[in-house]
Amino acid sequence: MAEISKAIREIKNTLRQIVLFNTLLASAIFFLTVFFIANLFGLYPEYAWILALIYFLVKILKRIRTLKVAEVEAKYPNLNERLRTAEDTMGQDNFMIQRLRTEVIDKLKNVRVSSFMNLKDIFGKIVAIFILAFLVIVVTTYDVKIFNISDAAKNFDYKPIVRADLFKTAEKPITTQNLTSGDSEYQLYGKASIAKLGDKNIDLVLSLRTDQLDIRNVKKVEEKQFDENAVYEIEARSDASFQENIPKEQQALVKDYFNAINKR
Amino acid sequence: MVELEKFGKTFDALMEEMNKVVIGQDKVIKQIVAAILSDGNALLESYPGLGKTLICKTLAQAMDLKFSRIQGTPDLMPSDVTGTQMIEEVGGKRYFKFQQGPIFSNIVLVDEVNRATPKTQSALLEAMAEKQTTVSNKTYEMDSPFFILATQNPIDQEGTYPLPEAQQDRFLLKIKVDYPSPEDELKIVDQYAALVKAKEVKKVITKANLLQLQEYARQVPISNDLKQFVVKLITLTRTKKELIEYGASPRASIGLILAAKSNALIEGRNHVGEKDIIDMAYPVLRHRIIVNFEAERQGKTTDDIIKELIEKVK
Repeated sequence: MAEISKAIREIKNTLRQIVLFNTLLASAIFFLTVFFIANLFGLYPEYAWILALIYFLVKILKRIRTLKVAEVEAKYPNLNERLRTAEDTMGQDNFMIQRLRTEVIDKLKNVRVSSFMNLKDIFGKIVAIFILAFLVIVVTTYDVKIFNISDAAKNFDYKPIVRADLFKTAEKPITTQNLTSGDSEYQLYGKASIAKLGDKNIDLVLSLRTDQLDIRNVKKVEEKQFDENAVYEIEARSDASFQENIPKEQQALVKDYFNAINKR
Repeated sequence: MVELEKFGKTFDALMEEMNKVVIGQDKVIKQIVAAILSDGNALLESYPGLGKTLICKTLAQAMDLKFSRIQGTPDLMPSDVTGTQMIEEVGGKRYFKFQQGPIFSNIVLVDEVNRATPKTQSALLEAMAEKQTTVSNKTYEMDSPFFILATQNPIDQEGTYPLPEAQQDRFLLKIKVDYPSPEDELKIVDQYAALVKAKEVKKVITKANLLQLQEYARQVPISNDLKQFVVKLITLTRTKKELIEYGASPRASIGLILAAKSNALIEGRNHVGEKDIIDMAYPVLRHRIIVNFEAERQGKTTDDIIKELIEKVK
């Protein structure tokens, strides 16, 4: 029994080695093809190895699972049904099984490893690898691209999916022009008729906190030197997609504030 | 000890001896030998005059086995088959002595078993199944090897007691004997119309060799996928309700594998092949499947249905 067990194990190992070799060649072709196409279309060729690895694993697992001694029988008809029967009855022993094993071992001596390798197929794959490798070198050296997908994706002008007018809250949008219009309705200090300052001098004492303020301490305007590397002005622009929902009376306040600043 | 490598040649020699006497029934002889090697029994269905008795008698001669024949008639009693107690007088004293019936043989041909009464049929079936018989509360065992070949006439069914399906299931094979070809019939006519003395058949296999070959037949290995093939085939007979009323039981699975092993041995192989199973599927299953009205309406025989099932499982 040891002899037949060893013989069948050897056959299976040999078949597995052949499957591994063929799968490696196929994976190499796959990798080079993906790499080549990725370069042509400006994708990420450095990730082609991940796809090739997945391809290799899937193919080899699938192939090894379906690997059976029936493949040997297909090549050698004189072993037809015998090899499978010998394998299935490995755990049994009787006169007839011993005779079968003797017959199988005798016939296995004529089995050649080369009969399971399709030389034309292997040669074709090696040639394909050479050609693809050459193409990859040419494409990467001269930066040949049919269409750069990644650049196109970066420059894509994104238009918002949501409608801009959904966030329009004021009848009059707050713009620079509106703030300086001088409309009496939008006075910063409110209605003049209500507020009266009078003739009295008012001493204002502000509570001391982090800073102190003395309104009598007026100084001359000092010329200040600004750095050349000043921070760029931050330009605030009204935008149709501005999301604040300011009530109408408060919008007037903001507008009047800017009007007042401009007048000063 | 028989040399197994020569068994294929032994079987060829057996066929050669059989062909001296029986012409044009090689397939039937092969199936009968397969049934013997499987230690089973066979049911032969044939029209009268096709050489059933001649086959069994010649086979018994070639295998050096004892042969007996029982003719099924409506008045056949169980004691006519099994034997009975007889009074014997020796030295003035009388005592009962068991007189063995024709069933105590190696090859028993029961002609037209469907003409015998159910009571007599059951005595035969007991001997078939258990290789023993009970007479006057005493059990007597049969000799080894023991093989019953029962025959049925497919025509002339009036006044018969057809074997119930449950009893037919006990036969390993149901062998159909067909008419010989015109060329073979010419040879038969040439031989038997002119022959004065019956031809001598030489002994090819001894009884001891046959018992050993029966043991070898059971030892022939079979692969797992072929076992699954057999089980799928038998299961399909139970699930294909469009054409089959009742399918085969697990006894059919065991029988098919045994018959296939015997067939492989007859052909001189050390393993069971798919062809062995396909060849043996017909005699194993044809008496175990009951077709329904739809199959009869379509004119399909059990053999046609078995062929369809085999194609489906393949």
